[in-house]
Order: sequence, then structure tokens, then C-alpha cells
Amino acid sequence: MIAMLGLLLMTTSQAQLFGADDATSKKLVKLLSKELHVDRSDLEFEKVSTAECLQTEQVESVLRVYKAGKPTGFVVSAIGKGRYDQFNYLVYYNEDREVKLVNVTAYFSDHGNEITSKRWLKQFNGYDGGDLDYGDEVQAISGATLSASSIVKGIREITILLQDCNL
Amino acid sequence: MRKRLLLILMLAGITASYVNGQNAAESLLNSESKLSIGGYAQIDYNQPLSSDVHQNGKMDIHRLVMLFAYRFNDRTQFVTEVEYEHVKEVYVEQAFLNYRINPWLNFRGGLLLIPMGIINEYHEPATYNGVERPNLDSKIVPSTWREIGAGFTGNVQNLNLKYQLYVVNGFKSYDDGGILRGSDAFRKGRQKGAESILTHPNLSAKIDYYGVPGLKLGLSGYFGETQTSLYDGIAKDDSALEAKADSSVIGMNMVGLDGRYSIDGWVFRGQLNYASLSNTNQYNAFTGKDVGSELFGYYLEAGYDLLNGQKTEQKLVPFVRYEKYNTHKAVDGIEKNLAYDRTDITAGIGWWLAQGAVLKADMQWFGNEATDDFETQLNLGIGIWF
Repeated sequence: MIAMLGLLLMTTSQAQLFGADDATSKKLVKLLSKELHVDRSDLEFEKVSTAECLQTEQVESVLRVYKAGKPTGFVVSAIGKGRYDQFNYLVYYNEDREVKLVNVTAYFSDHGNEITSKRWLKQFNGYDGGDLDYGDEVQAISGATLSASSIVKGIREITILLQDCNL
Repeated sequence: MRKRLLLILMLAGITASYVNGQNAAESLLNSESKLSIGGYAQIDYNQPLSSDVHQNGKMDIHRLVMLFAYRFNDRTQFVTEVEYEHVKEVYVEQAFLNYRINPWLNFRGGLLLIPMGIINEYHEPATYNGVERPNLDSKIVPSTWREIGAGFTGNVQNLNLKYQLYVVNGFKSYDDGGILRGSDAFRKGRQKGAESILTHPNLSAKIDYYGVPGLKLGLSGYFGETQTSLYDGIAKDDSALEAKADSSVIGMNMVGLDGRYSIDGWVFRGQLNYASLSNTNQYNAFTGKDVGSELFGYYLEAGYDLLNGQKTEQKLVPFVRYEKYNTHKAVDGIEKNLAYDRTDITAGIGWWLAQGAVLKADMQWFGNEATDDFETQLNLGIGIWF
């Protein structure tokens, strides 16, 4: 019976990596299968109990990514803050804990929506914890100052924490 | 056995939802984040310098604006900005309800900022150089230009485009006399949602492109006619009174182009506006005013952050702005007033102590085609935004 319970729990949590937000899970699988050039069925995720070293306001959850059973990095789901609203984004790190992909998964306000631009988010690729200042290393976006600097600060903080985190 | 299985399923469901916690929408909507509070303020000192007579300096809390946004659910939000101008005048700068149908389609209604150029929508002092806003955004685009209306806005992510399309109330050109004038065209006609009268609905639209990092380009348009108090109460078959009322209306088409680009500490921005006005001949004859039939202006600005690349949140940005704007680009039935063909040069520096707190100092030279002399003015200011 306990085994059944455990099985049920496992299947539920696999289908819903981010709580009840199934759309985000689907989006993540789609994004990563494209990024890693693998079939969706070859991707597996394991929720990492957010260790103390990664506990900040922004981090919602951390996932270990497996490609055909082999560990291939981490996904951090995080919260940013725009002028009127919060938004959600995902950062995918490779095994060296370098940023490989950033995607804004949910943006509620129409103000500052420019940060969801894929070309702008590409600037974070390769980032591994060095200097990252809005307007310097990262190009400013007119009209999206608050959202953009929130995601810049978030990615910087999360990356530095993840680099020092023993996961 | 069946009952047991059901119980297990239920338990599993409850545990799963407990373990998984909140979803994005729920976490967004916890009580702390439902209400956003923000604001901005601009405190100025203006000192005219070039004059044969003594002139007072002016110290003013030019604007103090409080922002409140309340989110009812993940689709529905109300946003308002309450403004104190010169301490004693109270205005509502924005007050709208936004309903997100999907990311590329939001319905929006209420008191809206007219999307025209840069400053009218993005006017927080920490977002622009100089103590005062560009004068193009006062004399031709009458910032802060807002009217009651409704329409749609959204982002087409794949094309990196943002669009806005609204039907709004327009300027009031007549109420116990003509309101508009040559020096600043529509500025005095703004109704600001205060017991505003509607006789002719207007159309306002803007498209912004943000597909190249660091660059933002905008194309805005505004089309319609002004509002007048003279139609009110006249019989629908009284063509003589209707003709009189018609003389108090001005038709207008305004377009704007704007661009902002930032790279390696450099910041550039520019804006160009053109407006074509109809019926100004009749309007001026009827009211004794001197409104031009074409308005034209532009500005170009460049700045450089001296602290670019330093490990600091601070910015130190010297800048220069060149503006040319003419509210008598063309006239119909009146003489051109050369004093309305103006050239302003602004040069100064802004010291951002934090992203939302800035100290500003600049000099301005105001010239026009009616004289060879430039008037000069020193401005010092404090700008905040949170």
C-alpha cells in the first residue's frame, strides 16, 4: 500500500514539476528538448529539495535534469518583479553551472513585456557568476527598466549561489 | 478494497498538492503582491540667467505622483497614479482597468496615457536626462497627455512588437471661448478626464519594436477632432448654429517617430513629431486665436555613463540635447509667428545614486527665429522613482 502511495506521488510530481502549473512543465520539456537536441521522452527531471544554499526570495524550485539517464544540468524556476507585477522565469544551467537558456514563462503585466524577447535573453547565455550589471554587461531595455534589472539581479544572485552550492 | 484505493487516491491528491505548493498564478496573488505601491517625484530649481532685469529663481515640487496597482486575479488589474502638481493641484494621471485575454490581447479602459513619443508614457524623472522634460514633449506632444478611453494592447512576442490601439476622448477646443493657441497648440485643451466633454471620438495607436537588444523604435499616430461645448443644446435641424459650432472644431492628425539606443555606456534617443491641423482658418477667425495648421519638431540627445563598467549601481551621465520645434510650421489665414519656431539646447549631467534616485544639473539655451539672442537658464533637480 505504501509502495502504491509512493508511486502515485511520484507520478503526480513528475507530471507537475511546478506545482499545479502544468503549462510551465510542458514548456520546459519543449524548450530543453530543443536546446539539448533530444527526444522529449529522453528527458527526466528530479526536484532538488532546495538546499539552504539556494534559498532566496526569488527561487521557487530547482530541478536536476537527466538526458537519457545522464545528469545534464539544472533548471531553476524563479520569480522577478516588474513595475506592477511579478513574473516567472526559468534558467537552465549545464553541468558546469553556466547559464545555457533563460525563458520568461509567465508575464502578467503588459508593461515591461520587452524582457520576454528571446534575443535579449540570449545575452545571459554563458554567464557563470562574473560581473553582470544592467546597462553594462547586459544591454538596457527602454521602457522595461524594473523588470529587466530584476531579472539581471536575479540571474546573477542565483548563479553565484548555485556555483557555491553543493547539490 | 475499493474504498481504500479511493482513500489513498484522495490522500495522494491532497499530499501532492500540499507538497507542490502554489502555482505561478497563486504565488503571484498572495496578499503581499496583490497591491503594488510606487511613485515618482521631481523637485526643481530653475534660475533664468540672461536678463537685464532681476529674475526670481523658482523652487518647486513640480510633480509628486503616487502609484497604486491592484491585481484582482491573474488577468485583471487596476492601475492608478494620483499626482500632486506644484504641491497644490491634484490630478489623476492614470486610472485604468486592464484585462488580459492572452499575452497579445489585453483590453484596457479608463484614463489612459496617450502613446505618442517617449516621454508621454515614460516620464518618470529617473528615466530621462535633464531636469525638465524635452520641450517638444510639452509644446507639440502635450505631456502628460491622458484622456478617458478604451482599447486593446498586447505584445506579439515572435515579432518583438508591442502595440496599443485606443479610442479616446480628445482635446477641448472651445468652452465659453477658444482654448487652443499658437504657442503650444493643444496643450491647454487637455481634458485629463476631469468632467470632460465628448463630441468627437479620437483614435490613438502606437507600435514599438524591440527586437534588437539595446534598441527600441516607436511609431505613433493620433487621429481625430477636438471637442467643443457649442453643439450642446442646439436643435438638430438648426444648421446655422451647427455651422457656428463647426467653426470651433479643429481636425488633427499627428504622427510620431521615436528611437532609443544604448550600447557600452552610450545612450542615444531621438523623437520626431508632425501634426497636420484642419479648419484652423475658421477656428482662428471665430475665436481670435492663432493656432497653426502644421506642427513640426524633433530632438536628438546623446549621453555617456562615465561609470560604465565600474562595479557600481551608480551612473554619472553627461548629456547634450538639441531640440527644434515649430508650432507655426504652416499657418492658414494668419501670419506666421517666428517666435514659435524654437531651438533649445540643453547640456548637463545626471548622477544616479541608485537606479531610482538621481541628482540633475543642466544649462538650457532657448532661442527662436524672431531674435538672435538665446535666453539661458540654470536647472538643478532631484528625481526619484520607486
